[in-house]
Amino acid sequence: MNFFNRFFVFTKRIFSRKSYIIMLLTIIALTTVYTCLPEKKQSSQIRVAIYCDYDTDYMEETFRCLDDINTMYDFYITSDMDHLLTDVKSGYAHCGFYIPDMFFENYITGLPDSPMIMYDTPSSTMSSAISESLFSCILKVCSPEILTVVVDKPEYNQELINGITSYLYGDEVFTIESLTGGEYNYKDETYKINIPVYETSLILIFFSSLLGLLIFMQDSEKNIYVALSVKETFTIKFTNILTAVLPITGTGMICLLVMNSLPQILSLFVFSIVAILGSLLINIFIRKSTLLLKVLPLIMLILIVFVFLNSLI
Amino acid sequence: MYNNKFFLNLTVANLKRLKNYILPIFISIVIILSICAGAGIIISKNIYKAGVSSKVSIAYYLPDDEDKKANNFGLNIIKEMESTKEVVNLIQVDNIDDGYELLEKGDVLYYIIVPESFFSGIMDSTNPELTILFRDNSQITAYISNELFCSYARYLGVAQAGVYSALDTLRIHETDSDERKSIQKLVNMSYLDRSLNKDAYFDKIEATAEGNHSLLEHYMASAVMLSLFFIAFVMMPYLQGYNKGLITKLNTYKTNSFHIFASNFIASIPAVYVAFVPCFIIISIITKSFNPLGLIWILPSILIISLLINIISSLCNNQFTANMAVLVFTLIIAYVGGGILPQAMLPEAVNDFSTFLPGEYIITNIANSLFGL
Repeated sequence: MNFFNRFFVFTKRIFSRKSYIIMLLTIIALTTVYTCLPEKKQSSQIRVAIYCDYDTDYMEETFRCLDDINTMYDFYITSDMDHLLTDVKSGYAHCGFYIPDMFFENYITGLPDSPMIMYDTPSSTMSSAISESLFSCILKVCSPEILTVVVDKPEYNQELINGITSYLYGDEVFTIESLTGGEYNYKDETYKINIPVYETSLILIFFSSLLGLLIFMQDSEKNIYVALSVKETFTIKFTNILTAVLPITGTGMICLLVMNSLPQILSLFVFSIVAILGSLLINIFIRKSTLLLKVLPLIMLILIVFVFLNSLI
Repeated sequence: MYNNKFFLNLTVANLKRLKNYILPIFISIVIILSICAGAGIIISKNIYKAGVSSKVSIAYYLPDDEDKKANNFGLNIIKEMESTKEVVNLIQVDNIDDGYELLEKGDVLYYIIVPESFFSGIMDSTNPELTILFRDNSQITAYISNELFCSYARYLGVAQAGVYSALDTLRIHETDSDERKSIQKLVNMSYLDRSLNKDAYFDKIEATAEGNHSLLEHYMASAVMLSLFFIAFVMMPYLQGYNKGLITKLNTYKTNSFHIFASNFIASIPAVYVAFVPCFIIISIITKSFNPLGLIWILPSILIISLLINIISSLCNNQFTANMAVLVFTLIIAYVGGGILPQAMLPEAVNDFSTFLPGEYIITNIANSLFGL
């Protein structure tokens, strides 16, 4: 009976702390944001960003060629270089191509002065294969001019251009018919933006367990429990921590249930037990509330780093 | 009229008090920097997870004819291409039936049978047909390799079209045979250069850098920013060392909370700077880059960090709340400023918000100070 009385009193006491209410509201607010957010669609389409530093007809023709070959990649032009880099870094585009000023002209004359730059990240696995599609179209678009430059007989230019154009679009040169049937069907998957309710709950559970321990230590330093036996004192310490942890754990579990994250509910429960045991263990090494107050931010920092890295890697 | 000399004395007294905090600051900064820099190194290596590419296995059969040497030459060029290495795993079979067997077993996705006189056929424009058999053409890898084959074929086709067109034109104009041969060679070489010598016209850069600095440098700067903010955990007793009695006494000298705030702010600038010095030395040793001018360039960040720590300290009633407020506030400005995840990965709304918080500016300033502009 004593235990339940204490449990009730300590619960009332912990709920009188503004910081505790803020912690509970944080979990509820994150879950509300998650449930209110509309579902997003994610396509498995392979997007490729291109930024051309100057206005040129060659670029338009290259895009026309990419259309003609019915490429499976979705090439698109970005308005500026920053946009291209952002798209590649964020993973929106598989890779990006920067076409510098006078690239096509230099490519035609064989001057490697201003190379095209492909930007990718370690997560891009097929950027070289994508570059072949783009490069083969650039070669096709530039090939008449390359021919006239190489032959270097201006009086033959028109005939050379007519000749190469007729061969390029005729059936006398080597081609491979597409081996795949029609266009690749991209899968549109719906997903919800990931809001770290679980990770936040873990951090707050540990924090609240330390808060419970801190309250006990502050009481103890006022000699409130001096007349009690060791066993009684331990029960009070445990009840303090338990009452601090339970509401956060309960709220976290309900929120995860709302979010349909059933497997995480069990691990949240297990973590609550670990947090309680961890706080009791910390109490073995840290006996004074002032010392706990000093190291608390450091403990929280380590926990935040650990939880964040765990979810990232 | 407020006595400026008293304010000066208060500030000097504050600075003298700082002496007792130097050692804890040094110890704490090393611990906190180790945690934050360690996390930074792990994040910088894992944030762009290396993609796992599934290669397509392709079997091919080359006939033992007079074109074998030329076929092998062409095949070696294709094998050496970066795109082939990335996507395709080529397996040569000694006889036609072995290829069928591999295809049946599912060991290969495609099987290419090169016909006899294939190379000479390309040279004389008869273009003998390649037989390409496939097992399953619905996978994305099949589409990628298909696109790759078509690109290679396009290179070859464009080169052929160029050579044929040049030869036709030169024949029409009855150019002598030696000139024709020399132009044909030149055209061949030029198309070979434009299609296969891509390195000359094409560079590859990893788009992981943040601004002028590599991802690792960016995360090191972010770790230093977090560490300097978290030094507040040590300094909070120092900043909140004025109890009500002391404040009442100071009020009799016309010293109000603003004066105390200003005095604390001035005194915390050297404290944060002292914390930066070991960060500067440690990071310089780790990254093997030494930028002495950085010790001056860092000053704006030191001022901002000191100011923010003091604002938080003056707004909070006790050390516990102030420490927690610093922890939460710092993590927020680090997140919004791209110190935890690269800015490109943050939601657009967060990026818009980053202009109003100093995180991005501080991280850039620290990175410039540590690694140069």
